[in-house]
Amino acid sequence: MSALAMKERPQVATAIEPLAFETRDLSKVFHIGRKWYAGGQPLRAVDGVSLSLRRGEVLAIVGESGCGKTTLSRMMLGLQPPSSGEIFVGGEPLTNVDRKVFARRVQPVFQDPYSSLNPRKTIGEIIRDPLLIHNIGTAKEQVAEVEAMMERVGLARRQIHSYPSQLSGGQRQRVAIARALIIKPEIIICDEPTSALDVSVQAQILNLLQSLREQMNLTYLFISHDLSVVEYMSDYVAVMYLGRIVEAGPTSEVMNAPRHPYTRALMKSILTPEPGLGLPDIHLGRGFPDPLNPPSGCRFHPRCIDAMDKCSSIVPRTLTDGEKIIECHLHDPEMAKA
Amino acid sequence: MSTIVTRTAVSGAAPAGRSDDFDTLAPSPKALMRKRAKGHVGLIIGTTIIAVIVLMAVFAPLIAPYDPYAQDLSRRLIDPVWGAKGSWDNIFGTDALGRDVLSRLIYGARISLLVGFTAAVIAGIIGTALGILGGYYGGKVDAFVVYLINVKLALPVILVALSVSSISGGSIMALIILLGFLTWDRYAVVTRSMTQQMREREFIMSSKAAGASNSRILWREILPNLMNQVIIIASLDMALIILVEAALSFLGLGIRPPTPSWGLMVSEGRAVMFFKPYLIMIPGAAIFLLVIAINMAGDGIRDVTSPEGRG
Amino acid sequence: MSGLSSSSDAPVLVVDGMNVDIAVPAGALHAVSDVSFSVRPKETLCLVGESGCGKTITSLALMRLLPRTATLTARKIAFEGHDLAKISERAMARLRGYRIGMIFQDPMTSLNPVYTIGNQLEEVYLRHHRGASRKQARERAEYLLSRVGIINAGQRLGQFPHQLSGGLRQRMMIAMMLMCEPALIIADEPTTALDVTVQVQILQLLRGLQDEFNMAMILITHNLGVVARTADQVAVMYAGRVVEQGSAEDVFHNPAHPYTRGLLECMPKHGQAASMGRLGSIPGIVPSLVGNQRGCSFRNRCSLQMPTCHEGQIDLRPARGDHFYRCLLEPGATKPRPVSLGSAA
Repeated sequence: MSALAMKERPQVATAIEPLAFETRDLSKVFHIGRKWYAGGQPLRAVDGVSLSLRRGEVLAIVGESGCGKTTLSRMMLGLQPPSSGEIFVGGEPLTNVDRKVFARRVQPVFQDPYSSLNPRKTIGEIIRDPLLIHNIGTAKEQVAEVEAMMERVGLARRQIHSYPSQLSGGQRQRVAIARALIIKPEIIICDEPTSALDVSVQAQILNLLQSLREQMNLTYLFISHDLSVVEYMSDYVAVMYLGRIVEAGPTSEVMNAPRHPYTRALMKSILTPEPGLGLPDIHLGRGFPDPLNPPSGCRFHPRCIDAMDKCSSIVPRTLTDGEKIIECHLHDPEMAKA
Repeated sequence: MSTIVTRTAVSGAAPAGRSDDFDTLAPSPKALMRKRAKGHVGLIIGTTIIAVIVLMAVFAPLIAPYDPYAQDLSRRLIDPVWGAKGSWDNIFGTDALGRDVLSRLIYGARISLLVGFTAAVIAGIIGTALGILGGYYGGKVDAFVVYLINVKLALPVILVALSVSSISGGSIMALIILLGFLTWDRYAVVTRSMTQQMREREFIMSSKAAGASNSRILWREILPNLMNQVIIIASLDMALIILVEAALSFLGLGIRPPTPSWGLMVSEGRAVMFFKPYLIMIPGAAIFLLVIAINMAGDGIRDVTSPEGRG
Repeated sequence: MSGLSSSSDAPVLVVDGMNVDIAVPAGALHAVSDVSFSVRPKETLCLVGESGCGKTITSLALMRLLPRTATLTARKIAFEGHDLAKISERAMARLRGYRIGMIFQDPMTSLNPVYTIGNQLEEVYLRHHRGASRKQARERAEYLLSRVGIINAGQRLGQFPHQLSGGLRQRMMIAMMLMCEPALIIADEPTTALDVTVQVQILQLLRGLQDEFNMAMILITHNLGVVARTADQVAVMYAGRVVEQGSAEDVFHNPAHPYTRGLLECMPKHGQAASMGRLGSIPGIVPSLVGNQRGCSFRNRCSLQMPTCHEGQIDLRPARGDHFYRCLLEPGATKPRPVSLGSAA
């Protein structure tokens, strides 16, 4: 069964079990420097992204800063309307619906637990807020629910009246997770949830996220730049470059046998704690290109060590092979023939 | 040393949902604030003076020895108690119409505080509302707010106050509204930039993602984070308004006689200022004391609530 | 403490028994206690540890950039014939940026946004080279910008810091540091804010420059991967103390201290998926550093703690050769068993 189905053939999967989520040709264009009298310069932050995932699985999105992964997550949360394309959650279209509808099904855990909690509210108020917004249960039930959720994520009940400034980074991230889970969403968007934490705390939070996923049958969209975390956490991985998915597939396959030259460079840049190996040679040109003026043809060709002549002129096709997606002339049989 | 309860390290499989560090609880922000407030001399002095003046104003009928309006031309221009011909009957002496200065001072506190407080609240509501809306929504809303701020900043406050109050004719209500509408800009400038910074913070994003409406975010998430700053501006604004009210009253365009107002008292004492200087010095000192106290309290609130934002 | 035997040069920097105490309302906070190490030319020493372990305070102490409430004491901090713990502020200012270079995590905070890049680079040069002309300074700036891999160096000199990407800014900071000829680089989390691919490139650049300009480097990081791949020597810090110190091979292959082992278990390893079991974790939090410090500072988080861990002072002792650790147990012990007093060094 295809978990990362392309838009040409998603029906096979949906017929049996609705996909937890699916995006079809999702795009977001910003207009930089737009004034009321002038249109501004278009920036395609996300460009035709089609992804899907089954319930209970984890899809990781990796890429450099500016590749569009944050914009993608904002669209998935209903915080930014897509310029074009569609989002389906549990088989239902959620494109351009009110963010309140989105909220019941998709919730975020953000990167920085120091800025993701309102410093003027107590922990109890923060976790309870979604229940108040959606008017779920009586006041008594809400408090009971908050206490149960705090226990579940590993917070002490007496911390219900504390303020965020009284907690450590790891505890704050637990609060953020509790707030996200309290209205029982199906999908959690984890945007770099551990990159602001110490190594030992990171391990605790990753373990917690994994246990909650198993207990509550959650689906994660896991955005990270730390590839060893991605390898540990995810079932599938999608590599983004300048707004496009250039390679995607099951994590073990992509990590062990990366096909796209960019994925290969990313994998080589993982610094495992193995002394003596020294620094890897990642074979990657310097400089992230200007997203306002993306390179012609394959957007990656100026940094690619395997670039051919046609890479600068012909845009590579999206090829799918079962659960795998790749956009590269090197892996296009027709291009290899030519 | 710390008082952390020792736990055994579980390597490999830590039980899910087990926090490892819930045994230390730092003092709450409120406790920290109380602790800082106790050691802040300026805040204590400022609030004490304000409290005394407020109590004076509230209980004026009980405290004031005489009716502030009662004229007694036979007892005109009596020196205060420390003067050559002073007596304990009129501690601060009497004015040119024979009214007791102390009683007028006590009743005058009502006017100063009423005008200062109410006008500062009106200005605060207008300015904060505009600032939050402009900062949060941005775009055309913000452009309009910035336009209003610029228009306001271009107005000469005293001149407009003079001309409007000369037309409106000295009602206290009109004066309060006028002063409120003339001093909201500082609130708007500060709250707008603070809201702009806060809009991108992740707790606002989280609230949006939880489905909160814009008005809920403005009221419940953003406004509580602005209150400290707004209170600090309000203290400065209140001091300014009290001075402007005194100036207008002094110029005969604010509070109309015979209502006791500190500014008006200075004005009335002007005619005899060379041989009865106490008539302007006493209300002048009262204005000075109140304004200084408000500023000290405002500084104190800032130091206590956000010590990192000092200077 | 001796460095690696492979490098025959004399150490550039020798730190011996350094302490930093910070005055806080509740008393003295022992931010750094009894830290000793040395670095030789071309050698990299990594200070590694979690937030609050004292690694950044250590680097600030070496630069004498500590807050005013802090007091620095040391038996000796020897650098090029000076004792950095004792020399005057003026003498220190002459060394800073001239013989000791610094790189920080966020280059934006150390660059002045209102001056062009060229201007700032030249300024550093002219400050330390009296009598040098602006032309000489500009030539050196242009050469170094291209040396650190910035294309169109001449054109970049006229730009302002905000016009550069994070990676380029960090390259520019490195060029700025090289404007004079530092013998020692102190790099505090230089790649933490960068993308993984850029991180590797910047670390490679620093490595190459170290060899070319004969510089020693103290690299401060929390990233164990960065440590393993760049360090010659490693000092693992916890609660203001070095708990383990030695060559990268020794520390990573035979971690002697329970804390080091715990940190390594927390890291997801290549090929490790969540379905294969949970990551290791270290429960508890770093103890307060205020007041008297007795016994082992890690004991309340240690699965191997014994009654003797609460008492006295635990010194660094050799595990094997140049590998030191601060624990009462045998190196790498997995069971709490006190060593007999005779075998402790």
